[in-house]
Parts: sequence; C-alpha cells; structure tokens
Amino acid sequence: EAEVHRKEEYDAAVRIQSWYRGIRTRSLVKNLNRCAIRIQRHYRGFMGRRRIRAILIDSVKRMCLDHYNKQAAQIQKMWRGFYVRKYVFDYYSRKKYLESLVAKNEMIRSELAEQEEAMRREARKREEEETRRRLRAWAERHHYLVSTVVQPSVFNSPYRPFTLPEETLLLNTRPKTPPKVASVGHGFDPSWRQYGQNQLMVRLPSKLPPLPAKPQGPFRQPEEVRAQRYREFQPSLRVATDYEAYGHLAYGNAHFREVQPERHVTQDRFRTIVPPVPVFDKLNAEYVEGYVEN
Amino acid sequence: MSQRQVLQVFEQYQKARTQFVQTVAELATRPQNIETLQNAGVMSLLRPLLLDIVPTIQQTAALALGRLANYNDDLAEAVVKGDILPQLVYSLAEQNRFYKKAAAFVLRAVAKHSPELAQAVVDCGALDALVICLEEFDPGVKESAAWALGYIARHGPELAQAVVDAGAVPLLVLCVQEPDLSLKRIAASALSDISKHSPELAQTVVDAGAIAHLAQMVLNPDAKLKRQVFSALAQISKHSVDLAEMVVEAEIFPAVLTCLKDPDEYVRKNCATLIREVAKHTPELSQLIVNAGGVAAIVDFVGDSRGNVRLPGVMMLGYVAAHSENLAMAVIVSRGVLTLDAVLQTESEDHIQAAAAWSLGQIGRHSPEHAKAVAQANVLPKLLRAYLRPDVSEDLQIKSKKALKHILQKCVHLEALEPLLQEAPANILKHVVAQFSKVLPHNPKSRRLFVTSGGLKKIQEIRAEPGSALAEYINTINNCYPEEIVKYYSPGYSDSLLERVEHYLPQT
Repeated sequence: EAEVHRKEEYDAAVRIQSWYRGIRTRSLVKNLNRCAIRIQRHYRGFMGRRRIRAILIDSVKRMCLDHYNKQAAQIQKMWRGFYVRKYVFDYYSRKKYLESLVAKNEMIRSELAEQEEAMRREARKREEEETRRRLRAWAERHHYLVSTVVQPSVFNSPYRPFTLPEETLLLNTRPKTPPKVASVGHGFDPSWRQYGQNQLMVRLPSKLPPLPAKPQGPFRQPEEVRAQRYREFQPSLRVATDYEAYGHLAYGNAHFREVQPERHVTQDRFRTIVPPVPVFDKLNAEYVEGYVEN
Repeated sequence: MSQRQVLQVFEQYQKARTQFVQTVAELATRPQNIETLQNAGVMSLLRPLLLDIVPTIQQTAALALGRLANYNDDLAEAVVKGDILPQLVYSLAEQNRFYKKAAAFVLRAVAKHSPELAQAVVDCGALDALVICLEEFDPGVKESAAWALGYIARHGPELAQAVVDAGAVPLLVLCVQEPDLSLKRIAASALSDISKHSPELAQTVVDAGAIAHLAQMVLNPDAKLKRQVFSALAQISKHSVDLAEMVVEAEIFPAVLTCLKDPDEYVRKNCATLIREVAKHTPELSQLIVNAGGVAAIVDFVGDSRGNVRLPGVMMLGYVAAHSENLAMAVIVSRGVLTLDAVLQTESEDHIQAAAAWSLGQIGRHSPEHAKAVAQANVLPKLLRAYLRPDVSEDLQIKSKKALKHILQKCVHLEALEPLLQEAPANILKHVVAQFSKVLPHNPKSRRLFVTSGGLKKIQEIRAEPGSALAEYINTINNCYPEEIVKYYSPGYSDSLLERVEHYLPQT
C-alpha cells in the first residue's frame, strides 16, 4: 500500500513540485519580464523624452524664426509701403499736383483770354486806323467835290433833306495838292561870288536857316543888310600882301636860304676865335678841341 | 524803199508782238479765257516769243506762259512737251531780274500740279538755276525761286532729296532771315515742304540752323507767316524724339500757347498740330506741355473751333492721355472729357468723331477712376451709337469699339453701365456683364440697386450659349441672388405661374 501511495504521493509530490516549480519559474519569468519591462519602460521614457526634447527645441526654434520672420515682414511691409507711397506713387503729392494743375490751367486760360482780347483790340484798332486813313486819303484827293454857295455838291443835294457825312469829311480835311516837281535850284551858298553881281535879280533862297529860339529884333532894314552883306571886299595891306611871294622875288627857301658856293671867299669854314676859357681845360678836353676845330 | 520805211516795218512788228503778248498775259488771268486760248494754240505762239530780242516781250511771254500753266495740268504738260523748260532754265542764269521772276513763276506753275511734272522740271536741270537765283539780291527773285523749290519738294521724298542735294537748304534758311515779309513766308513754307517727308530731310533742315530762326518768328504779327512757321516746326518735330526735343529747346513754349488764340484759324490749326507732334513722342515731352498749361489751352481751342480745324487738338489730347495715367488724369482734370464729348456729339465728319472716340478710349483705359470720369460724362451710349450706326466708316466703327472695350474693362461705375445693357450687341455686352459680375458679389447695396433698376430682368432676358464666357458671368450674377428672385425675373415666369394655376386643383 505504501507503493500505491508512493505513486500517489510521488505524483502528488511531483504535482506539488511541478506547481511549485511552475510558480517559481513563473515568478522568475514574471520578475524577469517585469525587469525587462521596467528597463524597457525606462528606456522608452528616456528615448521619448529625448525625442520630445528635440521636437521641443525644434518647435521653439521654429517659433523664434516665425517671430523673427513676422517682425521682418512687418518691417519690410512698412518699408515697402513707405517707399511706394513716397517714390512710386504718392497719393497726396499727386492730389496736390492735380490741384496745382487746375490752378495753373485757370491762370493760363485767363492769361490767354487777356492776350486774345488784346490781339482783337489791336486788330480792331488797326482796322479802324486803316479805314480812317483811307477816308482821309480819299477826302484829300477829292476836295473838288465840296459844295460851294452857288453849286451844291453831290453830297449836299437840295433834293435830300440831310447832308451826307462825306460833305463834312471833305470840309474838315485839308486838301493835298499833287506833289510839285521840285525844280533843281541852287542851295543858299553864302560864299557864292555871283551874289555880288546882279543884286536886284538874285533869287532869294527858298529856305532860310531856322531862327534861334531867343527873342529877335529890332531888325535892320533889309537894304542895309544887303548892302553890308554884298559890300566889296576891301582887304588891308597886311591881308593883301601875298605872303608866298616877296614882291617880285619868291620868298622862302629858293632866295633866302640859297647857298652860292662859287661866290665864297674861301672854301674853309669861318672860325670863331675866342680866348680859351680856363674852366674848360679842367673839363672835357674834347670839348675844347672840338670847339677850336669847329 | 527808204531806210525809214524799212525800219518802220520792224517797229510795227515789234509793237504788234508787244501788244499780243501783253493782251495774252492779261487774258490769261481770267479762267474763262484760258480754254479759248488753248484751243487757239497759244503755246506754240508764245514759245518763239520767249527767244525774242526785246526783253519786255520775253518777260511778258514768260509771265503769260506761267499764268497758263498755273491754270491746269494739261497746259502744264503742254509746256513740258513743248520743250520750253530747257530754254527757260538756260536763260534763268543770264537774264535780268524781271525775267528771272517770270521764269521761276513758270517753273513753279508747272511743278505744282503733279509729281511727274515736277520730275520733268527737275530733269531739265532747273534746280541748280533756281538755287543760283536764291543767291540774288532782289527779294522778288528769291521769293519766286523759293516758291518754285517749295512746290517741287512738296510732291515726294525723292524730289525733296533732289532739292536738298542742290544745296537749297542753307540759302532758304538765309531767306527766312530776310526782312521782306512775303519772302519769309515762302521760305518757311518751302522748308516745311522739304522737311515733311522723312527724318533725314528734317535733320538736314535742322542742321542748317532753321529752328532758331523759325522760333524767332513765332511772335510775328503777320498771320500767314505764322501759319507757315508753325507748319514747318510741326513737320520737323513729327519725325523723331530728338527733333522734337530740339524744337522744344528753342523755347517756343509757352509763347506758342498764345497763338492758339490767334484770330486766324489756320494759325491755330498749325499751332495745335505742332503741339500734337511734340506731345506724341514721349511722356516727358507731354509732361512738359501739361506743366506749361498746354492741355487747358488745347481744350479751349477744341471747344472754340469747329470742323477740321480742331482735329489736331483732339488727337493731341489722346496722345497725351495715352502715355500714362498721370497725364490722363491731368487731361480729365482740365475738362478734356466734356470737350471731347461735345466733339463726338456735334461733329458730322467721321474722321473727327473717330479721333474723339480714340482719345476718349485712351483717357478711360488706365484705371477705374479714369473710366468713371469718362462714364460719368455720359459718353458710353454715344460711343455705342457711333459703333452701331449703319452708315459709319469702318475706321469710326473700329475705333469706337476699341474705345468702348478699353473703358468697359475698367469701369465699375454701375449706373453708367446699365443703359448699355439694353442696346449693346453681343461682343460689347460680354464686357458689360463681366463688369457687373465683378462688382455685384461684393457689394450688397449695388445688388439692390441692380434689381430695382431692372438690370436683373435684362440679364435674364439675355440668351447666351452655355459654356461661353457670357453664360459664366450671367451665372455669377444669378448666384448673388436668392433663387426665387432670379426665377421671378426670368422671362416666361408669369406664364409658368399661370400654368400652375391652371393645373392646380382646389382642395375642397
């Protein structure tokens, strides 16, 4: 019976042992698992935290960059707006320009209107001047059409109740006689000898010299003046003397300055002998010698 | 026979010749006699008289020939065919000044009719002889020679080049400085005729120092002289920017603006032409003119003149506005749009209307502000009418269509666009509806106005092919409104409602 029980006990013991071994291995494995998991857990945490850190750093960097980019974009935005508004298209300056253009246009328009007015006035004046000139020229030439007491003219017809304006025009303008052919006369030449010859028949000059502005008079009788003016020339002796001739002799070089060497006594020059001056001896000897020799 | 009797025969003959020639010359002044004279064979009779011994007969014969040739080109051709020109040219060098004047008159009368006749005159070697005449002392001879040269140069660039090659330009510039008024006129007109053909010829004229002298004469009181001076300056400046700048450097602005008010209308026209030619080259030149107040003066000029005279003014406004939107705004501010609108309305000639339409298009195409200013002047219906009229020229049609297109593409002023919805044909309507479809989605107030003014109704009535741009625009507009309203305004809605009424069974 112990054998039977031995198997049973053996089996039971084996069972208990296997159970216990099982428990032990299970707990070992569990422990090992747990350790491994623990390690893995720690490791995963570590890697994860590392990765998170990297991502964090990255995102912080990106945030910083974004911020800087935004700030830079802000600066660029402001700069571009400023630049375009100032240099490319300045709204206010363009508005001012257009306003000033309108003002300038008004000024130009008024100036041009003034100038046009002035031109028209001038043209009208010229026209009027022209018509007046023509009328005057006509009236000057047609003075014979004026009416007389006996014979009324065409413009003053007795059959018409009023006189035409041409009549007054003719009466008011001075008639111009046709230009006389100017006869060729001698001008008034005071030194002309011919005035002395026939004083009664001499023609008075047509144009006397203009009178000075000062008061004139009393005037002498014209006959007196003429007698004085045309009196004969009565020169004095001095005046009458011919200074270019010495009577029958020709004055001047030919007679008085002439030299006749054949009538000279000697050919030598005359010397002037003067006692020598002692002072001159002290001075230039040449002077004395030259003096003597000459 | 005795000697006296023999001589008497000759005297009688001479008297007869003189009388004949003088009477013919006098008769040739009246146009009705010229036919008779031509049929009587006057050319063949006058020709030997040109070689007469007596100078008076020669001169009078030349004068008569000139008057005959002046009348029409058949006679001028007869002069050319009769081999008279070489004889004239030969004696031009030798004879006295009266003969020179008469001979130059004949040459001018022949050359004025057509380029072939002018070429014939040039072929006879007339140019050298005429240039020698320009060196004479007598101003009358110079005037005739300059006139003949001007008429020759008028016809074409080759003839003008031939005139320049003969060395005429410096002498013409000297003639311009002469105190004689008619000589100045003719010389200025000759310079204008030479420089109008090509930039090289204009450059030759400028190199001879013409601009300074022409600029001095701008303020001369004589009207005919001013016409020619402005015409010459305009022809010079039209070819290139450099020439235009040289003309401007002669300090003609702002004195030129005074002449826009001259009593003579051709002076005003040529003055406006000059300003136009200067303004069309670059924005800087236009800016210069605008700053000098030129736009105001031109706008006044366009307002005061009528007919063909104001065409250069209208074109000038268009050129100025075309350069930049700044300048277009300057034109608007100077009341240019109102004046152009008046031109478009009152003028009957097509080319002036076309120019006005073009200018308006140039003004309005820069930005919505400009388009608004143009549209507010009620210009768009007029442009549309000008486009749609059946009897207009093609030029006017094209220009008004382009102008409409340009303005419409920038116009967001909806009140002005609505009248166009009714009358416009399909290609214009496309643009109108496009503008509506741009504005309406964003602006509730305008949506309301659009409905109340009947615009939505008109939109529904438009038939558009599905898939075309027009249909897209219409869709965009319809999407801005609730469906009931769109249905309410769609055509045939009342019919469909009535149909529903018919089919409705009352619930009793």
